[in-house]
Amino acid sequence: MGRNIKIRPANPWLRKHPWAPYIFPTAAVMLLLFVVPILFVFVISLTNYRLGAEFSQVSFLGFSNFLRLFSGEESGFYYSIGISVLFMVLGTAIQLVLGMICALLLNHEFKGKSIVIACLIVPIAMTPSIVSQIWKLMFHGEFGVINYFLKAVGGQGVQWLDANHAFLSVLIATVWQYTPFVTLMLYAGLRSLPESPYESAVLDGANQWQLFRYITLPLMKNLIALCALLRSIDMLKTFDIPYVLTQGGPGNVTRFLGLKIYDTGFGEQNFVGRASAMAVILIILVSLISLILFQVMNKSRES
Amino acid sequence: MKKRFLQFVSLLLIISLMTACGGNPSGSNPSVSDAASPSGSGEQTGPGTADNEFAEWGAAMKERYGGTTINALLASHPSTTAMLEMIDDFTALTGIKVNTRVLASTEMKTMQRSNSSTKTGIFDVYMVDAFTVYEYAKAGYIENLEGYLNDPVMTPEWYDYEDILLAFRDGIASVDGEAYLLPVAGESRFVAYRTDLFEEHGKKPPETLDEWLELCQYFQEAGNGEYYGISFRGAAGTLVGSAHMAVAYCFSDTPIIDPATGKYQLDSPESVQSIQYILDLAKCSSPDIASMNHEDGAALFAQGKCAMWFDATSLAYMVEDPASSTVAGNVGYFDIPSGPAGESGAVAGWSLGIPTDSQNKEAAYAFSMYMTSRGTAKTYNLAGGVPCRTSVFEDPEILAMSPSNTAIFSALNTAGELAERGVTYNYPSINVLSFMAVIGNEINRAEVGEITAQQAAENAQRQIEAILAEQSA
Amino acid sequence: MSRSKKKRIGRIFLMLAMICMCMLSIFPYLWMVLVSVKERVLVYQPEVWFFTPTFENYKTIFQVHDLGTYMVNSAIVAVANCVVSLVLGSLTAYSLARHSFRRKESFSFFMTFIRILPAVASVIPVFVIAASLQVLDTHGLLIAVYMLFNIPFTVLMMRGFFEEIPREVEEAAMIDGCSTVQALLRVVIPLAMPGIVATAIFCIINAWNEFVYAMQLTTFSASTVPTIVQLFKTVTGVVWGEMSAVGTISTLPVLVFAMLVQKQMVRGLSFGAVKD
Repeated sequence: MGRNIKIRPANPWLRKHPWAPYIFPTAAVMLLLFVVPILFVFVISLTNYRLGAEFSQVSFLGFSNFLRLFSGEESGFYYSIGISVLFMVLGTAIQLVLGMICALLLNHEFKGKSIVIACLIVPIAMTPSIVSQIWKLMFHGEFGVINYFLKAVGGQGVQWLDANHAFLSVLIATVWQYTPFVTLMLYAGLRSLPESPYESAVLDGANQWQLFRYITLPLMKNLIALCALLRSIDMLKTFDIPYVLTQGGPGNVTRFLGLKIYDTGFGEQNFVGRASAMAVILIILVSLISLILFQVMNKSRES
Repeated sequence: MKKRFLQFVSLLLIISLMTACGGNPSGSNPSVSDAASPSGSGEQTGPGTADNEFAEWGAAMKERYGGTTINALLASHPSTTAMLEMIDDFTALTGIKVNTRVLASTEMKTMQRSNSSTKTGIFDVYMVDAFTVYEYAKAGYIENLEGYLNDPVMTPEWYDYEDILLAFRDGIASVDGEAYLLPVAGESRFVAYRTDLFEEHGKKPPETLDEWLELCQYFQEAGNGEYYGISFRGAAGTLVGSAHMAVAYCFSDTPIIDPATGKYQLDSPESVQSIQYILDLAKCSSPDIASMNHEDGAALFAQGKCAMWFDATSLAYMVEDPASSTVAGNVGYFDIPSGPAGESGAVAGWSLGIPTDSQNKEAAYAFSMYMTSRGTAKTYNLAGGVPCRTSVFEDPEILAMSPSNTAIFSALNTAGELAERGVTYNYPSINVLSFMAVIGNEINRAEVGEITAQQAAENAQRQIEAILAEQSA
Repeated sequence: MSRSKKKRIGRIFLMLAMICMCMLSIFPYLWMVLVSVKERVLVYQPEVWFFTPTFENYKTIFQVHDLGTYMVNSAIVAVANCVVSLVLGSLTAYSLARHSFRRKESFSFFMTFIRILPAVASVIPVFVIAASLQVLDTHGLLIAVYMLFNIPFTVLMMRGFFEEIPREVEEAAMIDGCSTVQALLRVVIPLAMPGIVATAIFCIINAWNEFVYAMQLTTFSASTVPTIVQLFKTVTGVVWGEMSAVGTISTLPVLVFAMLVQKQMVRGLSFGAVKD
């Protein structure tokens, strides 16, 4: 077989831009699925569109939907933002810390690891909206199994879904659902860490905590940041679990921004224009968080 | 180059094959109805009517529309459960198949609005809430049924339109005097009370609102945490909004809007009083009142945790079933007591209608007509359907079915009296439901102590005016 | 304390921790299975652990509620979408890994950025567009819509895998007479197979469990499994037994698949982000 280097591709444009056929289809799809709807959302947020209104009746309102939101006319808007951000911070932090602890524990050698990982896969695979129904039953004040266990060990039952505990319940269900994902992600990262820094450090007499703080953490910074990015965005947008578990209630205690948008646009009043304005705010919030975290990721990628 | 091109073409082919891989709205679909087993008599045709009358109509329908499949969007409601049980009979008679989608009422309304405004043509039958009738008719979502009603083939003798209680024919199914819907469930509100508790404390049902409030306060104290005075829907939006609306007309003929001037007057003294009344009732209930929906309220009463329960007539079954209610057998009812402006009764309910973008309107009408006719009324009611026909209330068998039926009839009659007073309960506006939600949201905030009744009224008034201003912009 | 004793205590602690993790993770699923075989009355008595199981609920959900059709719909949508997303996403990821072009990193950022769009916000525009195109309630619509999150995810995951494969391997293939595409297909893809499998399982999970779009965009023909929860909020309250049966069955396919490809899943989750 002789050397037969063919010059590919023949088309000169493609030769100069070999990446084009790989990128363009995806870019086109993303343009259609992302840019078009998001433009719609921005435009609708400037109107008084209500679901069911004839398009001819819809009129342009400028920024009055937004002014309305910030002036406090929309009761509970600031509260929604507040608890969404709180939920994001708390939830992400808990998931990262718990996930890291579990990943570190998982990173030892022992038999039956695949069983443990298989167990961890269960929350990842389960449908959030369906499993939240089960949480609803488990959290039930009278017939819930969680209260049953609490009482069995001598404690008192807790009204998990009342105004004082609903936030906590949603947090618990969400942490349960997504910590295994974080755990496996961090575990995968731990597995691909190099051995040598650890060997030399141990020779120098470092203990477990120092190993973790000065070697593991810096090496994992990129992955942790990515994790934080992914989780933060999802937590801020949370919808499935609170929608099923509490419907935003009792009252408005768990009315996260995603739920508030849904209620405004799909609830009894169908104010899609106002809902879109809130959605724009949510999008801006999420973008800010993403930008910050992405910067962190890029910095460590370069270093 | 050629190879690359071929590979991309095949990629595109695959993608387009995938997107073409869609089903179509009719055809073999998951029928999301419950177990459809014929109930009651087990006969092919409804009892109370000569067999051949149904058969004649059925044959005519089969000839014209047999083999059609229609899609019905129904609300989660005892009447729907009854209708689902009647579908098999209907299909056997007419050869028309029915796919149903049963959703909770808010989701159902959203689905109706989004489908109708974009004219998807997916649904052929809508179950329409009384409060959205005007909105749907004005927006052109539902068909005017006058033509069908007057057609003797489509509407045979045994339908008997005049048999439907007047308050519901006019109040929940017609717009500007024309029928747009066929009423299927007539609803009002009444109060259920624990006959045993009342007897124990030597109390009797109240005649006036003041007496009612006193009773609630009395039992709240007497219960001492073991049970509360009253339970009702106190959660935000239309839940507590509809509770408020039911008592509002006791305080004034025009608590929300003055139809003569078209001006909204939530902030009038009488309206504020009506809001305050609901807040006072809420204090005689569970601390969770502000998040209770109709299920929670009923459950509280059914588990013996309160002395009275204020809700819709159609939900009486929730507390009368001995299998799930510990108070069954000890339940009495009274109408909403009279207030300063007189008696009031809520006029609400559900009706069946045909979306204007439906492709099978006649078949859909056949379905709606069958489900709401006098001929099938007995089957429907025996299956748990909520009644709205005079003939039903005059039938001793049906009245004997449950202790609440007599009370329901009384409440529906009271509702009819509102009309005699010249009061339109369901005021003609496309915003009835959303204004109820606005009012309900403000009342809910007052329930948790965030604002006072006066502030709630003023906030609601302001928001209503803002929405109106936006709409005319 | 002697070294080996410390180790022993450490092992025991590790065992306990592992057991804890396992129990916490799977308890809700186990509870769900338990409830699904309980009689209706017993559902309200959590203290009852031993009883004769009944399979009525399973019969009902298949015969009356037609769970089978929902699962078929979910399967069609999930698998088809997975394939399309993998193809498009992998091509893009490959390009990001191998080629360099202006604004490459901006494009990569854009891919990750797409996550910011909340489903509740964009569901109305999608509904309106779909209605006007008359594609509502079709499998194709969901397959297309789910690409919104699955393609970026694929790009994110696969890029790391492709970057790990040394260029020399491809170059060697090309020297032997392959075109770039042939090298891609015959050499690179097989090497990246673990990544592809990992990405596939996550794409399927994402598509199978998606709720908001499915709720609004489907009614009769293309309803997926998550939408079935609406059926169980009946007038008389939630039917826990049947709901649990649905949950048990609907999770099984995805769960089994995931457990089979466990190793690849874990590998894939590092996103190639940890570098030497």
